[in-house]
Amino acid sequence: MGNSARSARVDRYLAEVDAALTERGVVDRADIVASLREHIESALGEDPASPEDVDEVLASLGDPLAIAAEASTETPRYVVAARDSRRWVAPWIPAAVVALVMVGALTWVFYLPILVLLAGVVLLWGSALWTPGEKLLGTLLLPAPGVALWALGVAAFTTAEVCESESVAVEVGSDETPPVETTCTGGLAVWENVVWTGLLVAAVVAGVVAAVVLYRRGVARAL
Amino acid sequence: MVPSEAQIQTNLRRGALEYCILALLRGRERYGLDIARDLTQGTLLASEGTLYPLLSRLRKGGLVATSWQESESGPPRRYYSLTADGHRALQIFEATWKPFRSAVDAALASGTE
Repeated sequence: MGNSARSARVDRYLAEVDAALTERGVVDRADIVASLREHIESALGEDPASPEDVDEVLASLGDPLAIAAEASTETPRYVVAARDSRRWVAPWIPAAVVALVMVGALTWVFYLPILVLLAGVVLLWGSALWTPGEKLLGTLLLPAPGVALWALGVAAFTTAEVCESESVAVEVGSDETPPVETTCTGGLAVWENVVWTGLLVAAVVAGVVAAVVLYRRGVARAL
Repeated sequence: MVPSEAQIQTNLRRGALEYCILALLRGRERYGLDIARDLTQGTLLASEGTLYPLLSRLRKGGLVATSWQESESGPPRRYYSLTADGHRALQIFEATWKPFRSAVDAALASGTE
């Protein structure tokens, strides 16, 4: 792994810690970030580290939000109430966010579900359980499966093949058979079908993965 | 709601972890990574990163001091050492902890025999 890629990864992690500390109003944040950087440098040593090494060191340092939580609790800290200073961190929040956004997106054409979707997004952005990046990811990806399935339904109606038959009137009594012309419009080419199916599957998979990640991180931090 | 093992652990750490850090510094100064590795061997530290806010707080409280020292490999390291106040705080904790631990053990044992 190139040194620049390695330091980009490290910088991103430290920026996340710094943002989380800023959000909590931690005064010593420069000191904490500097000592974390030093820890990473000592752990990786001088040799060029592999991406796995960097990931391992960052993983054992742990969740940036957990570090910020530790930094913002006061001594003596026997009191559980310390976590109440964070907004909207009840254990049910992650499940509610995922359910509201995904169900709302699935049925958003109706009046009420759009409010459900909005409530989910407001809860996601208002809660202290996720970083701004995760919130953005959730806002973009969680509604994806619903919108995709909804789009599939619309597509079934609007792009179906339509055929019209026309015939020319013939004189009654004559033995002529009226000529019938059939013209068909609409319908998708095979390659278009493949592309759309691919996009739909990708949207559903991305949404489900985002839901699992946000839910698991949210629950872990709600402790 | 019944508290989970993780929640109980978090609450217990809150009272004791700082003093465990002080105890690790007794007799010799150490750098962050070294302290972190020692503490994560057991269950004392949830993740290595949470050590640094604690060290920062201990330093601000005057219980530990820091100094920069050259290292054989890599950039200079920040070493942490106990101050006189740190020593005293550690002694007081030890004097409080031992009867506290016995009292908890006795309470947990009562009724199980």
